[in-house]
Amino acid sequence: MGAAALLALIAQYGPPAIGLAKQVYDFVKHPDPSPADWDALEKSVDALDYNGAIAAARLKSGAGLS
Amino acid sequence: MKRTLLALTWALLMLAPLGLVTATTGCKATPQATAYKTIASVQATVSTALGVWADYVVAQDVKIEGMPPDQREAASNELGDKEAKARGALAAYKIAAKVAINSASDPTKGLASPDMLAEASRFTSLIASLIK
Repeated sequence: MGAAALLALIAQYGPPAIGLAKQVYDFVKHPDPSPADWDALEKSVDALDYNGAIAAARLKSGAGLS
Repeated sequence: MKRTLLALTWALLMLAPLGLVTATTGCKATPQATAYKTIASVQATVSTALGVWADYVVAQDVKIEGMPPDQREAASNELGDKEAKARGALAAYKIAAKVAINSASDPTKGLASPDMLAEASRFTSLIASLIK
């Protein structure tokens, strides 16, 4: 999968694909992960909160605000 | 919205083999680095899918509020059922992701994370099907 494919993905799908493209870029560029990197990755899993995601989406949309 | 999820699922399926290729070719990534980057990529995909799902739920809530009263309960129950499925799939992914991270971050343990990839794929596929 080359850079052209990544650019095509971004062009077609917009912002969500930018995050993925960055991950792929980091995939190649980053050095070995440190313990802090693993810790941050684990915390990002902990931060995946269903209710929090719904609340954030509600806030973003303005739904439920008076 | 569904196209975004299809793109995410596509990316998920592409990233896992990419990790294997990088680990076995000229790129000088260690197995741990490859595992880390694979897990991080999958994690980003699931996080984005959760955001897309949350936007859908909020939009459906607004839609239900605008329905005639006699239709609201059924629509609300249907959305509740979908949410229970999504919530369960997310919980399963999180458990698998934590196991994968604990395993991959410890050089004395294995590096495989097939369960995490399977659960992430299950979550994004489920979201795509529920949003239909």
